[in-house]
Amino acid sequence: MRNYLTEETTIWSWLATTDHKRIGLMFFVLTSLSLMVGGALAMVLRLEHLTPNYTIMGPQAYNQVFTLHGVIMVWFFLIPSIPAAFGNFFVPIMLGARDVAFPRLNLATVYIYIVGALIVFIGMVAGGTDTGWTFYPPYSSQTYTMLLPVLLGVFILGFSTILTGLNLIVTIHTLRTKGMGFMQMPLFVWAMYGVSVIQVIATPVLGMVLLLTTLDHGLDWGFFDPARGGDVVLFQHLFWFYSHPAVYIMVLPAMGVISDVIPTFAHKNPLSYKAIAYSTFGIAFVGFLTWGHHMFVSGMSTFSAGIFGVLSMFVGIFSAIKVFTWVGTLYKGSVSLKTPLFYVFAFLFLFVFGGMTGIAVATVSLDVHWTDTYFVVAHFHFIMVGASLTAWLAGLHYWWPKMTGRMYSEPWGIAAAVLVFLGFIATFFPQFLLGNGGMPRRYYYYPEKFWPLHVMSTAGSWVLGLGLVIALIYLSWSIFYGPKAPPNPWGGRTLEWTTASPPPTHNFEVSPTLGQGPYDYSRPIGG
Amino acid sequence: MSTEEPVSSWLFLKVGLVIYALLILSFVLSYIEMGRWATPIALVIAGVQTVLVAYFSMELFLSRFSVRMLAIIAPLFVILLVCIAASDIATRDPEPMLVPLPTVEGSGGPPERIRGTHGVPMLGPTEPARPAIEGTLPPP
Amino acid sequence: MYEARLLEHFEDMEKQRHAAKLGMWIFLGSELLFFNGLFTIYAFYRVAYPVHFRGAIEHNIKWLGTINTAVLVAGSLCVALAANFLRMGRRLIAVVLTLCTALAGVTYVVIKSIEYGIHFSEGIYPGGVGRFYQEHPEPGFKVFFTSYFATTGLHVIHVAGGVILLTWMAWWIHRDRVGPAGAYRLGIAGLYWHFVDIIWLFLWPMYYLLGAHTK
Repeated sequence: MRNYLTEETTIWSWLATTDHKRIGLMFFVLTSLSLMVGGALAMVLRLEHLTPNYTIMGPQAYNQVFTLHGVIMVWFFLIPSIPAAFGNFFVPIMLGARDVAFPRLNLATVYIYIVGALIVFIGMVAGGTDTGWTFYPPYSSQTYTMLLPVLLGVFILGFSTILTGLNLIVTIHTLRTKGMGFMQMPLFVWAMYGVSVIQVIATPVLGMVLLLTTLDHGLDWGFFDPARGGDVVLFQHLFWFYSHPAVYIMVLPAMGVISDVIPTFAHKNPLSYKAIAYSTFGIAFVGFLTWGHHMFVSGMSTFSAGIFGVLSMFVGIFSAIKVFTWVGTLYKGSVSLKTPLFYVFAFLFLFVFGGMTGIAVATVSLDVHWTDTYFVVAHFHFIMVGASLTAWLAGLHYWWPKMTGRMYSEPWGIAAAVLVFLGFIATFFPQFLLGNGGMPRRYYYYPEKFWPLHVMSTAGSWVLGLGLVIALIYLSWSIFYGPKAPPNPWGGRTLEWTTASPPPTHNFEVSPTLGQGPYDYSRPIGG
Repeated sequence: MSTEEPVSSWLFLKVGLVIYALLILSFVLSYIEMGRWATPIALVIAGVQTVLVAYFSMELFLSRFSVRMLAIIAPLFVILLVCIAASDIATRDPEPMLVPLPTVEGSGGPPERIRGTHGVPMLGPTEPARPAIEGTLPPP
Repeated sequence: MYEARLLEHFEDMEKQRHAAKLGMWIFLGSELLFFNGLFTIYAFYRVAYPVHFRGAIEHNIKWLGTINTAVLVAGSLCVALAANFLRMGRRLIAVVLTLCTALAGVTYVVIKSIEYGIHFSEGIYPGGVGRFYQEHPEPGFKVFFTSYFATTGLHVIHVAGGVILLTWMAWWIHRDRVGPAGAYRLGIAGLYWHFVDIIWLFLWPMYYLLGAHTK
């Protein structure tokens, strides 16, 4: 039977496609490439820290590498990874629709992404920049490195993010199949809805900040220059108004994947559908009220710092609601231990660990000690890698049969999952101890007393990298030699499992009508 | 094929007249010294004009719930960022987080205006010096 | 007659129309948040330098700004009427009114350019550059005019974009590509213009009215 991959096979049919599945797949390839580049830079950084002094590169190169690592991982991988790839691919199918609301706009997002990535790449080849991914002035107005292409590239990329969010919101509002109300949508779609709202609201503010930084750096307008009445802390307000919600752009889709994977492998209804759906919006909203916790020692007023500290704790409440609901769903389920579920377990452990340290650093008095140390680095890597990356891997394995029509090797999958988990712990747990001991982030040299912990962290990064490389190898292998996947290999109840693997061009042979709720495991499939 | 129903054109003209009246009001008021009330009054008039434009000219009164929600939510986020950022500068200490300069012998204490949060010196000259960080720092 | 047709992935025309409208509103919400950064800059620095800001506003020409407000509001009124007339099927008057809105945009851009010219002749440039700042060296003046140029500059770009959009719409209506059933498209183009109008309704008091009343 013909499917979306074999319907047309010319290169032009890919370049000019408006099929959301092909667009999702292209985003998947592009973001995976970004992950490889960003990951390689991370390995290089860890290698440099193998010794307290010079190992493989000088201090200036080190500054440029950590900046590019941050820029690529945040904007080119983490933010589009789930929404633009899996979101584009699966949201319309889960809603029973034939495509997204604006297919041509959807294609444009791919090209906008490519243009933005190319410009950053040019800046990277032309010398890179050394401000860190946060672009703080006054240094960002003065650095002589290639800052402008990076600012411009990220600015352009922002449009891709906004338009993806816009498209998904309109799709969810207008293209649900007959009989599907908002409360019959799969939880992944709820998460994509929440994240799209954040993308649409927060990303333009980043665009403005980057524009103002460009004017400061390129034309010397001095918006944030204290000599001309400017205030550098104002930059941080604007920047973190975007960049804190951006954390939820990265982690909410991850939570959406988890919310869908757990019921499928526990063969059990979610403990509370509404608790997960509503807490998504709780996180999305509260996420906008907490940006100041990045600025406790920046010179912000103590009044504001106190308010931001308290508000930040609220995120913990909504996250805890989700975690308890997930664990409650697993409890007494008939659990089938497959690779995606291994990643879910890793997610649960790492997310709770990272979240709890987040509560700790949101406490103003403690944060004064930990600001800009490896403690914070470890905290946000627990959330961004420990939570978002593992959930991305869980979703990847969960939907791999649907996207490619092939099954991957289960034993290798589990082995890679275990390696990723252990490697991650070995990489980032020592960084908590380093930070608490006083090791500042973004420092090239460090005292010898930190040496053993740095070595441990670097060794862990090799294990983590090995796990990912193994995943890359067996997944690529399965595309050509893997056994053919049935339409519903895991026994899932959401609509994407009712169509063929891989799906036909218009997703369904006949437009589906909703007979069964998305997680109705009390009855057999179709019953 | 369905067509949207037109409404009376007089509606838009009437709304336009009200907006112009408010425009003149705002202009006249700008010549009166109102001190601290000037800004809120001008913004409230602009807000009323905005509501008129949004509700009638942008046809929110014909729109679905989802569009109306959006028209309410987006401005709230503007207010959020503007107010919180402005409240930071409004409540900031005159010289925030400034560590008093180390005193030169005989000059007698830090200058009056330099103080830390809540007027308490953060690292006064009387406090003992911090111990040096252990370990060796290689030369750059 | 060419008319908007139902795309295959929509259930009916009503949903397709709603999708287009909702998409435009979301885009405008995004645009509003884009301007938000500039509003925040203004509010933050106004709180920091209240006296300087009131002094600096006196160097903007109040009556030119007010005329511009009236021009934008007139354009907004015209495009709202145009969409309504198009729904009634009165194509010619819709074309004329749409062009009137575009003309209002052109008038606005011209007046704004004159204002910029006056500023430059007084030695006021963005970034605290120019002889004006030798007489007024206070930092609040520099940051006021930098934010003034950035905010109104971005706004004037949006007005120019609106002119192009509405001229194009007028051409489409004239060529029969948008008729009564596709009137929602003109309505959507109109939404953009109303948005630009609303932004200016706030910029006008911020940069012209809330001054120190010295003259």
